[in-house]
Amino acid sequence: MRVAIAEDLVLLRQSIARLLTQNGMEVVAETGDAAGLIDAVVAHRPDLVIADVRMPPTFTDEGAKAALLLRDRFPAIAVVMLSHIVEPALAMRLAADRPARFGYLLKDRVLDLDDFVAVVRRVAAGGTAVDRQVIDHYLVGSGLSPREREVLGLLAQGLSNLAIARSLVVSERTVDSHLASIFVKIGLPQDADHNRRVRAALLWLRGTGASTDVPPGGGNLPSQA
Amino acid sequence: MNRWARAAVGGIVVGTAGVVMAAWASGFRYGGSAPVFVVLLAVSALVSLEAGLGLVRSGERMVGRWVLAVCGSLVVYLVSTAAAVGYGRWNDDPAASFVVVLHAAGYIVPVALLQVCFVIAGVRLGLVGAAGRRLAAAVGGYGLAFAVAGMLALPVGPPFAHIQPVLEVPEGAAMVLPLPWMAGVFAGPAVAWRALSRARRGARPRALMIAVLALTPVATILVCVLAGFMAFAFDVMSVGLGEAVLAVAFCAPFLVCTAGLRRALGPKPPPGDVTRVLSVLVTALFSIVVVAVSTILGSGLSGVLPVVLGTLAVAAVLAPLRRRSVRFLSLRTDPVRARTARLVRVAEAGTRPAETVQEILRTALDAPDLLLLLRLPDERGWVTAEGVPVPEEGVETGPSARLVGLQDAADVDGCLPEVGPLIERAVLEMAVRDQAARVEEAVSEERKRLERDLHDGVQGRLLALALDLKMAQRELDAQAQLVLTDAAEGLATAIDELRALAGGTTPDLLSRRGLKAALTDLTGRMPTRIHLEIPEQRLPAPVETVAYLVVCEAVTNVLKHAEAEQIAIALTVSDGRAALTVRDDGRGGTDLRAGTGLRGLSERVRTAGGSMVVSDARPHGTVLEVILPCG
Repeated sequence: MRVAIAEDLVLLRQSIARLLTQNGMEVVAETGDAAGLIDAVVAHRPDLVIADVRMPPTFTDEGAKAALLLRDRFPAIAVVMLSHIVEPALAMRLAADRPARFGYLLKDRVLDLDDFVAVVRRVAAGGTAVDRQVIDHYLVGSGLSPREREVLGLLAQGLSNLAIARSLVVSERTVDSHLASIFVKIGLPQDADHNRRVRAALLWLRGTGASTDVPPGGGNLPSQA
Repeated sequence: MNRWARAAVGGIVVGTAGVVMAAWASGFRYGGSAPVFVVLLAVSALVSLEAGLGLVRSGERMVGRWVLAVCGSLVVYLVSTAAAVGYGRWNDDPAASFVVVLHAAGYIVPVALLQVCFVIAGVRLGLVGAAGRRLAAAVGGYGLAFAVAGMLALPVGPPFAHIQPVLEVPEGAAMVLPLPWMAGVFAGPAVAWRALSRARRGARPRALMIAVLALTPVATILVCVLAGFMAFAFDVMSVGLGEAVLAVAFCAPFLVCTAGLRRALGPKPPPGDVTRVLSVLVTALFSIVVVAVSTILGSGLSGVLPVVLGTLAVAAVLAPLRRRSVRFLSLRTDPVRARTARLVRVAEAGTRPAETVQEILRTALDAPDLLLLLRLPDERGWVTAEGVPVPEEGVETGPSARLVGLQDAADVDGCLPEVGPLIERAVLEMAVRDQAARVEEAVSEERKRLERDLHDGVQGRLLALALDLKMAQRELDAQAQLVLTDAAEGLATAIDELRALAGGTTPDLLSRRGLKAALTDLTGRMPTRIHLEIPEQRLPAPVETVAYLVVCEAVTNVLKHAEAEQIAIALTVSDGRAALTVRDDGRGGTDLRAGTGLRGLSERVRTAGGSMVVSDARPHGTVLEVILPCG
């Protein structure tokens, strides 16, 4: 798998590159800003891009903007955004519309080496990864039972049923039945496709679950151009 | 017709004055006919003629006629003086006696008629009604009666002492007769006094001027009395000088008042600085009193030093009294100033003197859109009473204050002495607030810079280091792995702590994405259900910071003490004000005075120019409301 990394902290960028290389991935480009990232993507056509939300020159959201642009221009390229703080609204905006091949993680998560590598692989394979802090934020006041919240949260983070089952130390059948009851409870269609279920969960969380972010009746999302 | 009248009266005046001057030049010494007196009297007659004719011409017929009557009586006095010195001096027949007594009583009528003019002017302006007319009739009537009685009953002084009065009156009656006439001098001031407090807006400058004019005869009477004492009783002044002073004091009111009446009732209203004239007049009155008292002292004490000291002492005693009289009269004559003084008395400036002053001026001047602008120190420009920066405009009302939206700039002059100290306080308070805001801003900027440095520098380095350690860990034996695991965990903790530290009071998210994003992030981590209603719009950075701190502290309080199930946080922005409400359904009973946290918060809010109220919610819980100005 070919990866491009955009991160302005050189030390961290090199460490991530080393980690990915050790895990059998090929880092084709390393850059320190958004413009460099776009150049690298055009030049190398990587399978996956890891980008810091905040980069020079203004240190606001250059990385996020570049990522949006890349997702539009090169839909086949997977994107993992790293942020040093959690911005639920930004993460949800990026994730909920097109969860496929997208990840949003707090930077600190790279320290869980195996999890991080797994997330990168999952996203590259077409999956989703949303930081659990983002999901927790939207789960507050969702009206579900604690267990159901856990299951829905893990699903919304992009975990497969098997991964959810392992995470909660239960059987996959139990997870299946939980998910079925959750989807009935919140009125979403049961879909066989995992990615679409993740998307439905994200959309529901964003629209209904947490009243903190969206105006009343705001379940209908404008698509991200 | 007017031209002929003018020429005729002018001729008579100049002719008679000429006769008297000739008599005086030929060696006939008679105090009252001193040249200065005759000339002044002639000039007064001409001035009052001009004023009377002008008033009649501009439509003020009533007052004009009375001024012309004053002129006529002055002319009669002058002519009778000329006849007395020209004919009565040489002859001893009834005609000679008549012109002499006519001259002797001639000063009585014009004095009374001048007061009638004031009263009639008051009636004319609608300031007094029927009472004014009755007063005019009484003053004028008694003046005439006293003149006739004087001619018949009062003895004529030297050099005409040989002419005996026709009627014999007892000594007491001779003393009492002039008293009502003298009291008549106060008719004009009395009318003006009564009228001023209810003066209508349009008539006020005219009424003010008439009031000031009406005080002139009172002042000159004092001067007359003083000069009389000094020249004849205490012998501190030569008789000639005393007579000259008497002559000026007698003629000045006719000169000043007739011309002044013409001006006051003329087509153009007089300017509003009559209060200043009033102050000068009162000062003159008090000076006369001081001189009078020191004169009496001088006659009793011998030596210069006691007299000087006595005069200084009298002046010192009277000075505050004078200040108070000027203020008292100004309040009486200027309803706007009186209203301002009343408002200032009942106002409680509290912590917002600027807004208090603005409110007082708005009410007093009846200008609801009036804005008070204050200058900040160090060339930091101008702000409104609420502390919002604005360009410099409006009418200057002091070195550091301006008023915008005045209907009549002249009105403010009266208010300023009353609100001056309050305005000074407001300027100071605004400067202090500005200073506090600057410090706050600087601290906040510094924090932000520090936070950015921590995030982008130290935190990233630590993270990279931790990552390297974790990777190295895999390559090593079990013992080394254990050590490295500890090290990596220590680093992770350090990173967490650093993040919390850098987050501090103004998180990076707040400055970059605004209040909504920052509060969403903050409340998302809280265990209680929190409803947010925050608009997307960005507010000025200091307002966002304070609002964020308020929510942090309030939510922390609720979580710690209130046992609430829900918290609702709402922010609305309108009319340059941000209103923030934090409401919970907990136990309630929170008191602003109780917790230091809330009190500190309230101070922060005040520094930002806002206000904070904590109250109980229904059916239970607490509501915290904060209003912040945000331009």
